[in-house]
Amino acid sequence: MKINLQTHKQMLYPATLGLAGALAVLFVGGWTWVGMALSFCLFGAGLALGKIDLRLQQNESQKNLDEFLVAQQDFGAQIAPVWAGHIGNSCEQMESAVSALAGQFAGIVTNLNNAVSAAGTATQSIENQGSETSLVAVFAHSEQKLSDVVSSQKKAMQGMATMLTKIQGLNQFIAELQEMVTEVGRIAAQANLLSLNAAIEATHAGKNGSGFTVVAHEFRMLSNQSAETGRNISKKVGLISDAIKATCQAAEASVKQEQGSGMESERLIESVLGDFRHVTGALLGSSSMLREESVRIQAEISNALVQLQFQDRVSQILTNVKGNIEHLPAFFEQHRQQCIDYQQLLPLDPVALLTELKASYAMIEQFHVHDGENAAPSSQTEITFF
Amino acid sequence: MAKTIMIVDDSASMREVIGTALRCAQYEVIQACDGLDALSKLKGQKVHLIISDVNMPKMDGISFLKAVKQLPDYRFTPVIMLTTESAEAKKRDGQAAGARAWVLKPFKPDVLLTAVQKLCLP
Repeated sequence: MKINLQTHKQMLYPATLGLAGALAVLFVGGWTWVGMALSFCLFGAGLALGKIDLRLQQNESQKNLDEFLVAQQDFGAQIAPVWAGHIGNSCEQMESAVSALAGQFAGIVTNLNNAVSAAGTATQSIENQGSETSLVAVFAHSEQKLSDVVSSQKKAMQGMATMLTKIQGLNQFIAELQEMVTEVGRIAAQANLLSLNAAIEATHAGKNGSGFTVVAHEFRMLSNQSAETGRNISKKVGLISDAIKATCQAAEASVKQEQGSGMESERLIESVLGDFRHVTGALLGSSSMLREESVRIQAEISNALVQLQFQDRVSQILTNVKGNIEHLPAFFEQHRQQCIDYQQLLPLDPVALLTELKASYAMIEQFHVHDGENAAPSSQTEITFF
Repeated sequence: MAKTIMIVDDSASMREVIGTALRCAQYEVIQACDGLDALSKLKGQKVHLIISDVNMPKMDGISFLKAVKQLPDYRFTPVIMLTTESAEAKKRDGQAAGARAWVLKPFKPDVLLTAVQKLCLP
């Protein structure tokens, strides 16, 4: 020890001085009894003074050593509780804040789950393929019904067009009837001419042609009646023709109107269906996005729950360090006792404290840090089933 | 009917985190801050599974696990140890005391839920 070497050196000074004095007396006085006694006394006094000085130095050193060790212990006793207090306080504050944060997060997650669940129900009601009440099914059903309406309307229009064609076909018969009436008139005129000629010839025949005159007269009356009937038929055919023409015009107008109305209905129905299809498509897109967002949110919640666990780990590490710091005063006391026992200042040995700290570790990364290695926490959840 | 799971952990934030993960999976949750608190809260409760930390004040997880196995009503209740403790010796202690699984923190919710679903009493 440095202090002991110095004290031994200091003890030599008075002894050397005494020895030098004794030698000087012997040299001056010669080897006489008085000179020898005086020299012995001088050397003895030098030694005694050296020993006294050494004792004084040792006492001083011991006092300094005691003071140093007591001061060191006081240092530990004063600073360790403060450090430990700050660490403890930090742990408590962190625990309190992260607990509140975790509680708020739990509330957000609950609300989020409710929203996602409601959105999921809405999505299901929109997309559910097997359900008759899903929006997609209702749309498909409505589209089918409206298509049926359009189809029925088209069929009705086709029926009207067929009827119009048939009515228009009656004009052909009217024309034929007109020709027949004309023919009847021509035949009646010829019959009248024949009856006239017959009457003339009967007159020329005289008494012998009187019977023939009656026949000619009757034939003439018959031809006149035929001509009259032909004219009547012609009138009636004209009336029927006019009625058919009026009916055709009315039917044509109705068909045209129905066609226009049908096309307008079809256009309107297609427009409504288009709008509805657009809305349904947007809803389906939204529900799909909601489903994807829901999956993404679940993944983010999972990640957040992992990250929120950091406080527990940090708190555990700090608690271990705090416990180690709290042992600092006892460690200094033990060191002081060892110094007193060995009567010398011994170096502080951190092995005991470090061993105690290491014994408190639970996490693998604490061991890594202790050994000066990389301490990235594992990202995999380790699970062991028994 | 939702199943009930007891969480035993001295860290309030950990209890919240575990509780959130379980509630998201439709489980009911009972929380306790250490082994003694858990034993007092167990009385009269139907618990389908227990998730416990190891290092806790008053009564640690292994002692709590041993105490639970002494209770007739909870002798067969599965217990998952959820801890930062990675020492093999501690794991063996947990296994010997009757733990059914040992999960290291930090845990991923889906991994914990898989273990819960696998071990939970019907």
